[in-house]
Amino acid sequence: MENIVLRYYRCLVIAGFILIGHNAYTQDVIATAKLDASVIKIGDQVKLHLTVQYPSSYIINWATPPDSMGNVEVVETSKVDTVGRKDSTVITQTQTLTITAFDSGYYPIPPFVFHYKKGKDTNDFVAETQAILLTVNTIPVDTAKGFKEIKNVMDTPYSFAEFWEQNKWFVIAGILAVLLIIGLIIYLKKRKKVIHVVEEKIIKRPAHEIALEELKKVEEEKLWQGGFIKKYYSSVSDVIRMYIENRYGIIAMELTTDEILLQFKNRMIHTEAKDKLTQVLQLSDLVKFAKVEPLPNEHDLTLSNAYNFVYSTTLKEEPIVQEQPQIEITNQSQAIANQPAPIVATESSIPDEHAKYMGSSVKNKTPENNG
Amino acid sequence: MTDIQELNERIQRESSFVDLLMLEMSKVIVGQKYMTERLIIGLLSNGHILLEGIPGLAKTLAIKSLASAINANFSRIQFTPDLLPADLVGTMIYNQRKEEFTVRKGPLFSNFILADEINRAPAKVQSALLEAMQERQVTIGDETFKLPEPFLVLATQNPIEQEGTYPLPEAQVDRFMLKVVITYPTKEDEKMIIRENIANSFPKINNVVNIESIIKARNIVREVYMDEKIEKYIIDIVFATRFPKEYKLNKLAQLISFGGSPRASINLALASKAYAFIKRRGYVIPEDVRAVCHDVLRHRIGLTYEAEAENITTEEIINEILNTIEVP
Repeated sequence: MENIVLRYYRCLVIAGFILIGHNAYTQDVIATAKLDASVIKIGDQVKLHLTVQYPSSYIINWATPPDSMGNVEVVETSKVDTVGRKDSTVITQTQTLTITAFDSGYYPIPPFVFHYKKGKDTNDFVAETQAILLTVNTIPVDTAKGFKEIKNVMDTPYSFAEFWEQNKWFVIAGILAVLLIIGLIIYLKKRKKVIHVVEEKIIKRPAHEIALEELKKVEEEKLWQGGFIKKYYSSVSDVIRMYIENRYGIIAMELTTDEILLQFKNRMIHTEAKDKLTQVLQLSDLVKFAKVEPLPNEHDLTLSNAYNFVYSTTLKEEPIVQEQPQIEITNQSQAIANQPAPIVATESSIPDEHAKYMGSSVKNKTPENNG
Repeated sequence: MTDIQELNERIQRESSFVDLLMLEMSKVIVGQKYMTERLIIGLLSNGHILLEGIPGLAKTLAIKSLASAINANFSRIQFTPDLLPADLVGTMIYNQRKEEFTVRKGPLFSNFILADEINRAPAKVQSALLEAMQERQVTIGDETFKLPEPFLVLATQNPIEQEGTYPLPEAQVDRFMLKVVITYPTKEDEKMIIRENIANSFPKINNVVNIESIIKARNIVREVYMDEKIEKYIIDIVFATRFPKEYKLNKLAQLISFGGSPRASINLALASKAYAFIKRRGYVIPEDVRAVCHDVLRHRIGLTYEAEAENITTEEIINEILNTIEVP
């Protein structure tokens, strides 16, 4: 009986030692290891916190964590964090390991060993954490059911914030580049327009001015009087065709007589002007291509008709009206007033020196009956 | 009276058959005035014609009617892949009674030949025909025979069926004076075609012109006056197909692989004269050149792959040239 009591007593003492000294081998250095959760599912990650508490005079050699502990893998290791000031008597250092396991089962996490020295004492002391059991459970599988297809990779929603965070510099650079290109295009267009306007103002002369000048030259050259009848008619018809090209934008130099006359079929020009144009072009064709030699009066008539056609189709600004009714000027009427006047032919544009070639229709022409 | 006036009067006199011919043909060919006019141009300028158009546009009927109206012989040859040159020109046959080989002339010995679907026959048959077209004579065995006058070949090509065809090489196509593209008739014309075909009494073509008149007219066509300016205009047009850059047609340079040959210039001049004759004129004007320009040049301009890729046709190229070259 006494033996039994003694045996119980011994067990009680051992249990007491175990309970009291569970966390440390020594009183002055305490090393602990603690899991956030001791039971995890396969593949789950769990934190393992290592803590060592020791007097400030001690020198601790921190145990280097392994990459794996059997089937347990260390995914991530934090830095060693020191709690407590240097001048305090006790220092606490912690480190957190993220661990996982990809097989189900019970895995013991072995004790972590910390070597330390007590101040100037050259002896090496050891402190160890306790061993911990990690239970890894698998997902329950109902084998009675059939195999299922592996699910596809799931799409996670991609938010604008995420996009912006990743690509903001590219986006900003792109916007700047687009703005730069637009600015460049606008600048070039403006520059081009300015050049175009300047060119037109400098180079382009009114079509009738050029035509009258050229007809005058033909007249002064006295070609038909010198026997150059074909050249005379070629020159007159060329001047008229060039005038049509400049005045109406018809490519008359590349069109035949029929095609030119067809172009004028539906244009609002005086019938008499059309007749005169027909006479000039058709007679010129006969002289140029059919060896026709018109009578001397026909030479003059052709030139006269050419002048007449130019005068009767000349673009000319409308004469300024002297007396204007008093009206209240609004923005709209001001805008209309600022526009260029409609362009019509007037008798005032015909010089006296060519009056001999004038027909009655042109002399009596008013702006209303001109096309 | 100047030469031209005299010529004009002669043309007025000698070209009266043109109206008769066209009137007679219009009895059976409804519409298609363009085609009829081109057939007469070919007839008057002694040039062969390549007709392109889908089946059923009265190509055969037009040629048959033309032959009937002129009182000339007409042969229609359907070109097939198994056709042989002897089927066209004729062959030597052994005469048992005379105990010697005698010549049997082929259908080519006619005034008007309709080579239907010419691109269905292989190259050697095409060559046999084209040789006859160029030389106007045929050699069978060791004997050479002159072909009858007038000798006019009108070949047809079907543009929609390209399977099993032997396209004519460019050098052979060049021998056709005109390539005429025939389009569908108008609604009004088609209405008339239906009525005439349903009615029992199909009009009969009368003989209104004799071969002598045609040969005489051909001589007058050659006399039609062509001014130097018109000659320059023709040369400019043809040269623009060869060297577009020289005529400020830079964009055409990469679309044309080869331009018109000197035969193009000759035919353009001849066709222009014939057109002037039809219009009762003794001289050529730029309108005449432009009227026949497409028909003379459309088969003589080679397109590059770039042009084909961009669906650009020779018609567009000719239009561009005509709109750029200055008219005299």
